[in-house]
Amino acid sequence: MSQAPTREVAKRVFAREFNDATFTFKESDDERAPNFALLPTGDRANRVFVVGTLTETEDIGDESEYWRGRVVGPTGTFFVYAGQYQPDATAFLRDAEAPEYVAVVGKPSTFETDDGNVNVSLRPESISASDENARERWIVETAERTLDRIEAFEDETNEYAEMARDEYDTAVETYRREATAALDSIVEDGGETEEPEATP
Amino acid sequence: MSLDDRAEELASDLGVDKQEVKEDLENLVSYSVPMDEAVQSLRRKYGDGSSGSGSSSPTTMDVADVTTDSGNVTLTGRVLMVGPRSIRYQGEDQTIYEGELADATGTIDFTAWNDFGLETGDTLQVGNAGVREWDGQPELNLGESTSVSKLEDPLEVPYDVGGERTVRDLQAGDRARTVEVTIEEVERRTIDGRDGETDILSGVLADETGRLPFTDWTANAVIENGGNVRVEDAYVREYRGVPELNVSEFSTVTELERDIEVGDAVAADSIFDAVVGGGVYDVELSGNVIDVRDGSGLIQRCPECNRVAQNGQCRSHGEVDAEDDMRVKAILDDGTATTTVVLDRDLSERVYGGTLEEAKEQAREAMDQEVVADSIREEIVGPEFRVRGHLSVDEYGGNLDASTFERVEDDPADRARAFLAEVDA
Repeated sequence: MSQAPTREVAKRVFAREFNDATFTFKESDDERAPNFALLPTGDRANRVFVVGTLTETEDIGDESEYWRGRVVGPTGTFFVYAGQYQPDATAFLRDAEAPEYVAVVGKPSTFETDDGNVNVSLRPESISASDENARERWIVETAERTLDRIEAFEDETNEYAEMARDEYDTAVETYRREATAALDSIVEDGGETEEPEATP
Repeated sequence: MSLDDRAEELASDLGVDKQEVKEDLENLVSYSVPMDEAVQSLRRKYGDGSSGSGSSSPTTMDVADVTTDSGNVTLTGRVLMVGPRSIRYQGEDQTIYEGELADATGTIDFTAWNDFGLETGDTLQVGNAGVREWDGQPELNLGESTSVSKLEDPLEVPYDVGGERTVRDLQAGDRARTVEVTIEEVERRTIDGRDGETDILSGVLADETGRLPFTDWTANAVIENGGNVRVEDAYVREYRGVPELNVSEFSTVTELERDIEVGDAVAADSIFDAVVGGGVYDVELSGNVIDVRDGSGLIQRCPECNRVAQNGQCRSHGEVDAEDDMRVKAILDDGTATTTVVLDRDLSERVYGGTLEEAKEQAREAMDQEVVADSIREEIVGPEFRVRGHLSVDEYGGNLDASTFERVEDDPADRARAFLAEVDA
């Protein structure tokens, strides 16, 4: 009873923080052990869930199809790459007519560029059509989870926070600002529609 | 220090009559026993553990300090609740008394194998109680060699004395609980019990805070009549992954005059809270469906055992004339944890947007029944859903047997505003 669920949870994370999560690690020597990205707010992510706007798609493959999609959130862009091993996601990106709202479940993935930078991207398990309402709910939820992580960042027993302090230079305050800015963006959107009409 | 002083000190340490101790001490000393040795001897005689006669001698301790390694202990505590239960041990029916004891530092479950006449609210001085491990936690055993005395002054403890609980607070392992509930469903069944065929009642009860299944082993007429009842001295055990209230021969059931406003399913704060807390009967969870598992969509079941048959083969019954059915096993994820959500044929047809016959038609045309699962996947992966049902938890995680499955369409701007106000505060 009361064991932790065995399936990896899909973490909610904004683009800025996701793209800063350049450090990856495994928690055991087993070659099939899951790979985790270290989130700068002090958590590990083997899977993430994102709702945003797919703005561009491009087939960048040489011999076989390899699609890159840009999914834009309120604070930045997620890069999604899908090839022959993600047939459903590849088909979705091939047929997509950007811009459109999408929901993406995927695994964080990193690669090092020639100039030594580490880029973080998303390897999709699924991509599906979404809508504006779902996008905004994702923003609220992601802000809640992000601020939860920041709250737990100072806990002495938080091993991932300690790891993040060792691996990253960016202050967690940055991600708190990112979360509140994201919330502000949808409150402002909502506010405009509620503005009383000017009386003649 | 005079013999008189030593006797007084010793008598107060051991809690025995000073005159008696003094006479014993004088007697030993008169036989040339050194004073210190005489004192030790009397300590052994009157049973104080400090003489160091081995680890089995009881030690006086706080409840919070009792561990599964404590051996035998002596402590003072208040009975938060206690109730009898009948067990069959080596063919003999025996009544035992189970409950919870507390002092200022903590609480501990106990089982009394003898009738010490314990009542809820009693303050006890318990001497030489055994400690055993039960479900990873220490538990006190009060038996033949345990001394129990009731103290006049009630011990103040920071816990509620008495077994009154709301349905939401009931947990598997609880004893001597009292609830005031409405009987929502009740059914009489005949079972083959340990004394042959016997009638029992089973059903669902509820109060303002939640809903639970129950079994009444006594087939009590008041419960069978339905309506509102007060049940005293019931116990809770886990059945099929969720807590269940058990009414036994020691329970008291009375009709209840007051109204009970039964609430809707209790919404869990998060999937993590619900899954870590173990099973919940009738709970509401929200999250995004992020995957639809294999074995969803159009499936075939064995007509004998109702289990899923693969290619007309049942694991227990071999080749069978399998019957078509629809179900969905979806992964619900809110960022804190995940659970599997199981939709029955009715809900599956609704999310599929067609009947079983239409699903079979689609599968025939595609010559592949996976297309049904794919259609469902397209429909539900991504969006947020509010799901109500019974949550059970096993080593593979949570399993929510859904009774309702609805898209969440709440206004996110309101939620954002409320949350911002909280953050700024």
